Amino acid sequence: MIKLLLNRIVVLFITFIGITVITFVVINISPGKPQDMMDMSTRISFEAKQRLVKLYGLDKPLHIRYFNWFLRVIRLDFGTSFKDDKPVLKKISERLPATLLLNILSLGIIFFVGCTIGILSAMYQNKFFDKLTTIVVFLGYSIPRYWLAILCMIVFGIKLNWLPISGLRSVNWEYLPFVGKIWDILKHLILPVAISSFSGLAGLARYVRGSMIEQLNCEYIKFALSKGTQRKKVVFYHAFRNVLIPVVTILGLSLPDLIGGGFIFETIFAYPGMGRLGYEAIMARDYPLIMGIGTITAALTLLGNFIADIVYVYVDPRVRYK
Amino acid sequence: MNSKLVLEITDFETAFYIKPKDKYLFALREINFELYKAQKIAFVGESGSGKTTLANAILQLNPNNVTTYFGNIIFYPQKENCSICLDKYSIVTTEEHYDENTQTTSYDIHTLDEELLNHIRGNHISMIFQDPFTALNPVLRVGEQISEVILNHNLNITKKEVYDKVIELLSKVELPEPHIIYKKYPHQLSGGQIQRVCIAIALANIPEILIADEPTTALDATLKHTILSLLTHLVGSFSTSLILITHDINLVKNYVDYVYILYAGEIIESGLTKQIFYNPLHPYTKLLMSCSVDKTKKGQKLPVIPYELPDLTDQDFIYEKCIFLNRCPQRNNRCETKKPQLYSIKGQKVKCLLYEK
Repeated sequence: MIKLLLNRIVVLFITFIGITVITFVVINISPGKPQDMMDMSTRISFEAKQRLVKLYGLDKPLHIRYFNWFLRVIRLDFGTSFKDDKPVLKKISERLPATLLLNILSLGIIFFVGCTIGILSAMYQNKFFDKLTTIVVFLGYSIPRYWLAILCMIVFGIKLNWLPISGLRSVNWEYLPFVGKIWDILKHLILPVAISSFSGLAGLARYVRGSMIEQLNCEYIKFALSKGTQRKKVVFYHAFRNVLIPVVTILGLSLPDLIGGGFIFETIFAYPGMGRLGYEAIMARDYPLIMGIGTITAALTLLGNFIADIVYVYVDPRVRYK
Repeated sequence: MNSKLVLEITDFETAFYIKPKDKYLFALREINFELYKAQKIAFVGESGSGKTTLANAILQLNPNNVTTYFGNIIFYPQKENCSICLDKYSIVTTEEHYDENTQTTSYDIHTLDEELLNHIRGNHISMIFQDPFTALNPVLRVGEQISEVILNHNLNITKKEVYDKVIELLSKVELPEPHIIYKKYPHQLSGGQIQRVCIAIALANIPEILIADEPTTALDATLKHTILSLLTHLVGSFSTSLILITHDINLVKNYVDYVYILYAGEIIESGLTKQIFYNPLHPYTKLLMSCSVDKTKKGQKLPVIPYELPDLTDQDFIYEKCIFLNRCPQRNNRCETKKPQLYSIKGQKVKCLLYEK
C-alpha cells in the first residue's frame, strides 16, 4: 500500500516536470512576444524596449531561461507579472477562490443530479422517464456551452431581467447588509453554475446509467434479492457501491476543470476566475503569469488525481489488497 | 411420504415475451411436483431445459417485465412462531387456503406483493447460485453480507447477537478461523470458500426450502462432493427441504431422494433416485445416463445426444407433439401426432408413448 503510494508520488513528480517544460516551450515558441504590445505605443523607444528584454532575461536561450525559472519556482517565487508588476502568486490567489466556488458548486450538482438521473433511468430503463432524461441530457451535451450561456444571458438577464449576467458582485456590493451580500453572490452564480453543470451532466448521467444497468444484471443482485433485501436497498446500497468505482475515476478526470476554470466560459460571464486571468495573460504574452497559472493548475490537478487514487482504493477493496 | 407438504406446484407454466420477435417463449410447461418437509429432490437437465427458470420462478426472481406465470406455486409455511406470516397472510389467505383439519395456512407465491415476497425470500425459501465468484457483492465484506440476511428477518436483534450468529454460521459451514473470514472481501476467498459463505447466507434463518442452482458447477472436481455432502448434511440437520438443480445426473445419485428429469421445459421422467438410476425409462434419460465420462473407455469419443433443443416459441410443436421428437432414437409415427401424458409405472412417472397403457 505505502509502496503503491510512493510509486504514484514519483510518477506524479515526473509528470509535473514534464507539464512545466511543455508549457514553457509552447508559450515561448508561439508567435508574439511580450514586448510586441509596446510596439503599438510610439512613446517607447527602441532602447527602452531592449532594456526591458534584458531585465526580464528574454534575450537568454530557452533552456537557460527554463532552468532559471525552475530554480526560482522551487523557492516558491513565481516572479512578477510583466503587465502590472504584481507578484504572480498574489494575482492567482485573488482569482482562485472564485473559480473554486463556481466549480465545486457545479461539480457537486453534476455529481448528485448526474447520479440520481443515471440511477433512475437505469431503474426505469426504456420507460418515459428514461427517454426524457436521455433527450434532455444529450441536448446539454451537444449544445455548445458558450452559445447556451449567451442565450440564457439574453433571456434571463436582459429580457426577463431576473439575474445579473456578468461578474460575481454587483457594483453596490460593499454597501449591502451581510445577508444581501451572500444573496448577491448567489444571484451572480446561478447562471454560470446552472449552465456549466447542465452541459457537464450528460457524460456522468449516461455513464452512471450504463454502469448501473450492467451492475443490476449481475448475479450478486439476484442473490441480494433472494436474501429478502428490499429492492431500493439493493439498488442504492449494493449496486451503487459498485457504480461508484468508475464514477470516482470520472470525477478525478474532471478535476483539471475544477481548478483551471473554463477560459471561454469565464470570459463570457466576465467571471473573475482563473480562466479569465489565464486568458488575459495569454493575450498579453505575460510569461511569468502564464507559467504561474500553468504550474499551480498542474500541481493542484495532480494532487486531485492523487486524492482520486486514494478514494479509489477506499471504494474498491480489490485494489486495496493487490 | 407421510411428512408435511411444504411446496406444491401445479400446472405451472412460465413464458418469456421476446420483444424483437413479438413472440412468447414457453420456457416451462406442465410442471407438477410436490416437496415434503426434509425431502431432497433434484432437477436434472441440460442447458436451456428451464432449470434455472424454475428455480427463479419459485422466488419470483425472473425479470418481471417480460415474464408471465400460469398455474400455482403453493407454499405451506412451517415456522410456527412466525408472526409476520400469521399477521400479514391473514390478509391474503382466503378460506380455501386455510385447512381446518390440519390448521395449516398456505398461499400462492405468485399472488404475494413485494413486501411479503421479501419476507419469504431468505427467511422461508433461500437460494444458492451457480457461480460463487459473481454471487457475492465484490465491495462488501463477507461478514456484512451474511449479517444482512439476518438483519432482514430479525428486527429486534443487537449487533453483538448478529456477529455471534455470523461466526456460528461460518463455523457450521466448516470455514476455519471465522473471525478472520468475517473481515475478508469476496475476492480474497477461493471459490469453495465463497460457496460455503453462500450456504451460510442461505441457511442463516433456517428456511423451509433451500434451492441450490448448480451449486458445484463452477467448482473443482475434488470440491464438488465435499460441498454437496456439507450442503446435504446441514439441510438434514435443519430438516430443510432441498431442491438441487444440476446438469450432472451422476453427481446427485448419493445425495437426493427423488429425481425429476427436465427436458425443454417439461418434466419427462420422475422417480425415486434408485428407480431413475437402475431403471431409466425415457429414451432421453437413458441417453443422459450414457453420457458419462466414467463409463467411456479410453481413446473413445465421449458420447453426445445429437441435435439440439426444439424451438420453444413454436406452439404447434410444443403443445401437439412429443417434445423429444427430433432427437429420439426410438420414435415412431405416432409421436408426431400425439403428445404423451405422464404415465405411471410402479411409482415412476414417464412422459413417453412407449409406455402408454
